[in-house]
Amino acid sequence: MRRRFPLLTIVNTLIYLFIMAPLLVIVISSFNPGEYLVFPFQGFSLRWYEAVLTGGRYTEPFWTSIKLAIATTVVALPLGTMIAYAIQRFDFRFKSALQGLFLSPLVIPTLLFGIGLLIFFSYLGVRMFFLRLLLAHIVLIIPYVVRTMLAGFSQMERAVEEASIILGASPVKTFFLVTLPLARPALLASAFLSLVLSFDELVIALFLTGPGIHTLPMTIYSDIQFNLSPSLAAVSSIIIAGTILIGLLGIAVMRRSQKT
Amino acid sequence: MLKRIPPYWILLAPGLLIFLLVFVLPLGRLLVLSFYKTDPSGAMEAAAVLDQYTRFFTDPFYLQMLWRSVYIGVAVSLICLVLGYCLAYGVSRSQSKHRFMLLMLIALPLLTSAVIRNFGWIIILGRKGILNQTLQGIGIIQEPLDLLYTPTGVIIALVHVMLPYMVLVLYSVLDGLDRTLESAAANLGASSWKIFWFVTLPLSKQGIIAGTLLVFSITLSFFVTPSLIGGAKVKLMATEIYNQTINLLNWPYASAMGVILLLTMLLVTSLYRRVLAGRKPEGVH
Repeated sequence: MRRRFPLLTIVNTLIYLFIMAPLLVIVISSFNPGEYLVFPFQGFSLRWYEAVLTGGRYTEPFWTSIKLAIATTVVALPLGTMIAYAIQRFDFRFKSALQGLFLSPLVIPTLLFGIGLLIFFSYLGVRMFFLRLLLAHIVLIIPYVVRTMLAGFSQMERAVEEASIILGASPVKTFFLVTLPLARPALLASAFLSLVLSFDELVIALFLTGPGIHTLPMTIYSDIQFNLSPSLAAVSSIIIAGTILIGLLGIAVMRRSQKT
Repeated sequence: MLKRIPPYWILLAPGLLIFLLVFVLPLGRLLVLSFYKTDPSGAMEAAAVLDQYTRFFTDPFYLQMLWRSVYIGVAVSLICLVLGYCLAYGVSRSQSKHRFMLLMLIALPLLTSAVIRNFGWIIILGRKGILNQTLQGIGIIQEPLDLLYTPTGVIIALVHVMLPYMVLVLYSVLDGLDRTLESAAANLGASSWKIFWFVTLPLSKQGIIAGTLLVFSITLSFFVTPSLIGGAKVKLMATEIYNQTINLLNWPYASAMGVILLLTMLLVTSLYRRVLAGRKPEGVH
């Protein structure tokens, strides 16, 4: 039995259009040959892509953001995995309180966390700006890793680990040779989330950055306010394409690892 | 030596250390600072007083800002609920082949950062933006509409940012519904609309509650959209907290506003939960 809702199809098409609209507009604007973001366009040109890709103001912030995202993942992934494993496999006092603590950055507004850290770091006199950003990112990302890894560990067959222990492997060896390989899909998902979220983070950067450090979202943010130009559309289009590509890649990898 | 420490403490210790140092202490400091005194010169002084809170609640300017923030949060949640329900329902009812693709079509563009998507809305909503140019070209309007730097523009862009949260929550509920109930209603002669209104909608109530609560709480403290689309003209709590922190350096006042924002969030969500879900005994879903 199938019921059809023609009205729903029309409404949903409009909503899809609404979802796509801002991205389409940016991509179209990026090919505008003129100096300003005005409509209608006078033609087609790749000059803004050339300007963005052959140096310019976005290169350095881009690398800063990449470095920050990778450094965050390198720290947050193992820490979050350890926390999730402890919560999933052991019973101890304050377990639910600790789990709440490690997930709470998801509930506390980033804005408040940003001010709190700014006040705290200035109080302590910490002026290493990359370190400030990195520490904040680690705390923001750990909840996502913990949540994903908790789900991953809970789906695993415990008997396999027990078998490994019975066969004489130490708990540490079992963890690295049995548990982690089995949790690979969750690990990949966590790493992906961590890289993307940390690459995108703006609010923390606005609060905690200092002279000499610009992340890509910050540069784009301030250019939207003060320097609206087609090269901004070009760099945004590159990020849109990159995000969609990485998203598709992530989906493909997850589907493959789910099959095997 | 290491053997005597339980293994879970070894696993938890590094994370716990970072969380205590970089999360608990700074937020504690924020809370403490909100009770500080500030004198006219801007210097702050340690004291356990409610100066900052009194200043907020006795100034109509700030009370109005709080009200505006709540109002926009409610509007965005409701619009997201309607749009998100249409999408989630449509996807959950399509054949399985298309379903994944439809879901991706929603998720992938929405994965792009909020900053970039708001940039797109600026191009669309401006006085000489695409929307105004098109509407004027067709002849529907004579004068360009003011959308950018207005609450309406902020709501449109916020709905775009918050929609995926709503769709994800609603989709997981709608996808898990027992279809045989709908079939039963159909066999008993109910029309499609009746089935939707009396069976599907009540069954998805938990999703509706969870989705709107999630969207409301994120929206209330969301900074990017009010700052880019609202600018200086639409003053909201989030942008003013940033302004007090970065430009005016009035950290005690910014802290107090932050605490008020958080308390408002808790108050509104618990009221809403009570009104919508509270009539049933605890534990029944």
